[in-house]
Amino acid sequence: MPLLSDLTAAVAAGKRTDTVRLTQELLAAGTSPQDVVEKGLVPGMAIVGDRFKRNEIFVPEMLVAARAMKEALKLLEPLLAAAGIKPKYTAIIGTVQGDLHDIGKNLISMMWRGANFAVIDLGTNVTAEKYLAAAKEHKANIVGLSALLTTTMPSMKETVRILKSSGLDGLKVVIGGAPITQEFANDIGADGYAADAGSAVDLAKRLVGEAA
Amino acid sequence: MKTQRKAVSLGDHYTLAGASARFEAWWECRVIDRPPVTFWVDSPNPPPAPRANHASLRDRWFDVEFQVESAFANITSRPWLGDSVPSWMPNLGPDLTSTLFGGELTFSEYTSWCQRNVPETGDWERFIATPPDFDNVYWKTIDAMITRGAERFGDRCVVAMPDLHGSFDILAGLRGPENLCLDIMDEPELVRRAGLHAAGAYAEAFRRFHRRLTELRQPTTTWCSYLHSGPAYIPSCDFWCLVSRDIGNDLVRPTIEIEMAQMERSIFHLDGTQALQHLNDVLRLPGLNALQWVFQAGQGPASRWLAVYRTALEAGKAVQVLADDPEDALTVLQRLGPKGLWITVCRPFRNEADGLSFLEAVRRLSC
Repeated sequence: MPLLSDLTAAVAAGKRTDTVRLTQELLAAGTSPQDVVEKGLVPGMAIVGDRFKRNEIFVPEMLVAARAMKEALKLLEPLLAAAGIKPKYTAIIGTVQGDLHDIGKNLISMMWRGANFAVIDLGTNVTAEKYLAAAKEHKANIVGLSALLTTTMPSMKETVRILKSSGLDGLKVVIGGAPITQEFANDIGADGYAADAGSAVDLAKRLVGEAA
Repeated sequence: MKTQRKAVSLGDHYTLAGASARFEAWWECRVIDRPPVTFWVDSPNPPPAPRANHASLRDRWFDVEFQVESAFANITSRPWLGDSVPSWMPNLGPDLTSTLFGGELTFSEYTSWCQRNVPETGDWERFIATPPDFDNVYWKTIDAMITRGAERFGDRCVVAMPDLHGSFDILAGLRGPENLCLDIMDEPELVRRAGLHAAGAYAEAFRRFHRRLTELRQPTTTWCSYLHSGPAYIPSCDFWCLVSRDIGNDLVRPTIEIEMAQMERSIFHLDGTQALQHLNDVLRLPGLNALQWVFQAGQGPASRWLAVYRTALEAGKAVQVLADDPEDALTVLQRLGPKGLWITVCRPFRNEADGLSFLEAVRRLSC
């Protein structure tokens, strides 16, 4: 029987075929789907996030790891759903209105999924109203706003204002993107800023009360 | 091939010959009287916005006469000081090079981007077998813009080389950057061949534009407003910042070397803090003369990045300093000295007197 640590290593190395095979073997050997996710896949993506933060790996290596995890989740999600198990937290993510760039947003979306958040990805060019509607509908814990263009930073500010004044209980709003800084986050009243996808996981966990 | 330069006359304080001499010295890290200095001065009488009643944004971008007349009104209404090059760049967006391989452009107000047309990894084989198509509607329109611009501007303005994305940015435009990253991990040799094919097309595009502009007696400049009498450009690769140094040196760098082999002078556009990991590899590009370091909004001022400028200068490269304002520019000049610097002040000056005063301050610090 394979070990959960084998699965963790396979995900971290981005080995898609091995990840799927090990997932199947672990399930066949009686490991619960929840343990496969929480003790196998999630630690693998945590390793990836840490390496990314330390500039030991870059976007291609992160993407193959996320792809491996996604393949494994295709097997696991029906089993988790049948058992009534859902991720504990829900995040909404999108690139703000006027901005069509999505690679940073997509990386964070993958990393949040890898940290066992349910992620609703609204895509690019997202209006403040659309963020708010999604946050209400999905009872989100956290909303992530991404921007690459300096010209869309005012749109980010307006979206933060609308979300923070919505009265949604406990909703946290975090921002990121190439032109964004902690200072800007403070200025516009965001709850947090992340410089990269790895840090975005730590930030999200901290804001929802989990140890980062 | 050297161009017989045209004379540009735009006021009492500006001569293209003076600017050109300072730039020719700058490329070689020499200083004549002061570093080249470029900035905009607000127009005392801004022209009315040109009437645009096009049915679509695409129609507006493609309207050669409208583009040329709008630029003419803007350029001739403002004072030109220092070494700022009054120039107009025929423009359909930087993904113009992707259209050589069937990419269709989508236009927004200020830029355009390529629709993806390499849906699967295996489609790179088709891409590699496709010769670049210089007869497509985008290239015909750009050529018409160049011809009309040279006619209209006469001695008032230089027609600039269009903005061209190179090798891996072409691939990323056609396939999407995330898919390209995955392809690099899955099929590196196939991607290598695709990158080399794209670089070959870029090199041919550059040669064609340079030949055409030389026929029209234009000195060489582009969106980054240097001057040179021969083939010069600003190579770049936004995609490079997504990958490791190993992948960058293995796959990306060789394609940029192919592109740069066409250039007598070059200034590399390094954009964003994520790209800094490649700084030393960029500085080792054969034949590179200079570095344009773009620290992006919120990461300034320029005086915060002296270490980057010093690294480039110590490698024997000139640098373009994109200063937030005059004070930032003078701080960098004081700290680094004039040798190898080209100073660009990003905030426009309100009037000619302020601009002249700044030029005098630069000259004093350069003695």
